[in-house]
Amino acid sequence: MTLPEAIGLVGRSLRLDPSAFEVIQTSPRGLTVALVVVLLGTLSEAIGQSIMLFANRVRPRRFVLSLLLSSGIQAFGMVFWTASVWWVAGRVFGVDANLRQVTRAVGLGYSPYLFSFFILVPFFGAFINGLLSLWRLLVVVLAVDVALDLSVRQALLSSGLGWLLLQVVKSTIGRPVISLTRVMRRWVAGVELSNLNELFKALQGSPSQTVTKTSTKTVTTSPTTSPITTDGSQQPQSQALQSDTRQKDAMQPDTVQKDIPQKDKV
Amino acid sequence: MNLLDVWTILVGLVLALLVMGTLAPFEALEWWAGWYGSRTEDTDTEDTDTEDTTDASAATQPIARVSEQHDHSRHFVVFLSGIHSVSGESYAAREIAFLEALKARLPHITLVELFPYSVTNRALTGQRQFARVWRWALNNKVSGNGLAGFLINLRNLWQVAVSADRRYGPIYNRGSADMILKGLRAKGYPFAGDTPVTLIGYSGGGQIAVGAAPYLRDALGQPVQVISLGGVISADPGALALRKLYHLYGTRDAVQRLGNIMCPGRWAVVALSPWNQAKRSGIIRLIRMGSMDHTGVDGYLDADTFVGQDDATQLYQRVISRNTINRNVNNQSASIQNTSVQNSGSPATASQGVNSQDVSASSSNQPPKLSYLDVTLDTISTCLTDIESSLGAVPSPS
Repeated sequence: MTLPEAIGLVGRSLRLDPSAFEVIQTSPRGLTVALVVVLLGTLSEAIGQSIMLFANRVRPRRFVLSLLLSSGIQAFGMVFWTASVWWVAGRVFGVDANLRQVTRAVGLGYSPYLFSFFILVPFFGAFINGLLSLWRLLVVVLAVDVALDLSVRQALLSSGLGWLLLQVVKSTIGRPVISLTRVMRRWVAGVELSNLNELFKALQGSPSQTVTKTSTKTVTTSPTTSPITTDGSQQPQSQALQSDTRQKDAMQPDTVQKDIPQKDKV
Repeated sequence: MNLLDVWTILVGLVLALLVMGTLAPFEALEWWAGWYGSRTEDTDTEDTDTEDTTDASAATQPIARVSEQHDHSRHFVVFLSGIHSVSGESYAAREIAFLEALKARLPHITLVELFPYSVTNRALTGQRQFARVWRWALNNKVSGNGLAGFLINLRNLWQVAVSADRRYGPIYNRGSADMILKGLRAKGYPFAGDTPVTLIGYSGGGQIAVGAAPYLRDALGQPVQVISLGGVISADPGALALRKLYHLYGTRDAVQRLGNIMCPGRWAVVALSPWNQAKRSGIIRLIRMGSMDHTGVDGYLDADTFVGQDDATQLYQRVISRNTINRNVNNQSASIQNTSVQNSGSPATASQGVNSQDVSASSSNQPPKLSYLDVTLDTISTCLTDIESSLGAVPSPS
């Protein structure tokens, strides 16, 4: 299968064209195409959710490594989903399913996730995420339907129950694995990865951009962990809090500055 | 052109739009992540930079030095321009005329102009990867190319969406607040006192202003006020951190209505949204501006379109009553300034803001010929005066 043919195949799967799901099963390169789609799809998803890395101020090189790790973890999740679908189809519907067939079907089902980087689009990100998840489910259901010669209802149940089984495994015996992935993410990112809610709660009254005037230009430094200062100076947070009273007492017209500990001002 | 072509073009346009949107948050995110490092950037507050360089000793005490120049300043007004802008410096003729008239009308205010669609306050035509594209777009827009103008609008509209987005909003709005503080500092804002700060957000600037409000409140130690001129505003929690939000809107302004339509939190049924809470608590005041449009001819800043017969009675009544308040308040303000400001040349009197047209109108009691710009200026002046009165910065007329 040539590259244009592979792209055409993915395009047809996005349009829910049943012929794409037949070709992916019969083509000698079908499995490779399916796995490449999974890897690219999960990488795209990692980019779409990279706000977490930005918000935690991960450095550029580690940022790229974190994206790759995230992509790998998601792809690993796809393997488990495939196994779950295969197990449910065999146990519940008595289908003598080939694991490779299911892998090709579920793998191609990740084609809508190639657009997951659009989750970054402001304001519409959540909507796009939901749309892509639904789209992926539809593609997987149709692909499983064709691969295992099931009815649409059976294919839907296989995919749905497979996904449910995966969630149960994740929250029970899979917990050590989840913990391990957290440790790996933190190690690769090089910083503690807090969730957005925690970060934004702390945002009001913590790090800020500081600005230093130079002779002809303004040097914009990156946001630091110093408190917000209105005079353009910067000092360590603890020092700022301690010196606040002294500053107010010693406030002179030519050195006037206001360094307000946030908790006192709200 | 067959249906397939139309479909292809439509899909292409949607994809282009989505790609623009995808790239939109990166500036704020990279700034927050510290990826900009210590990159040296141009600033839009060139006047201040010049001041800083002319006197080496002054660099260590910029606030005191500037304060001497502005010691009669009682109100700092930050103007956040509309989505048509490419930098903090207005280039649109109507906007320039509006700002000049506002300064002439209220000489006691200190005006700070900022480009609100970049947390680093970098002009689109400044040091950017796509600066050449934006320079091209600006040149073409000035030459009357509507598509180029549309591109600039679209780029800035996505930044408004970044500010309104729950994921990016806190980061972007924090950056905006920093930028505003920097602008205030550059203009000599006396951080030691409680000098009021009001943000005028035109178009998308309305959302940026509301978004930055909680951070400004924390930094300044007092809530700020926002005057939204046809502002596209989401149900941002920042509204609850404001002292007052005056939302000026024209009935033909479809752009400001976007915020109302697109943000469920603005709908009346979502009673517990920050917007509706702020409305109930009296923070938000909606002011209808007659049949004004968002921009251009018939827009808020149009000096060549005059209030028609339909609007005349309502607007006239409001304008006259407000000017009466203005005159009373400003006369008191002027007398206070005359007595308190010594040896400062000729202190400006705010009563100059009441033009002869208004005065003649009150005396003849006939509706004057008011342009849309006049009405906008008058309404904003009234809002600013209301703010000053409520804060006690200027004694309110008893």
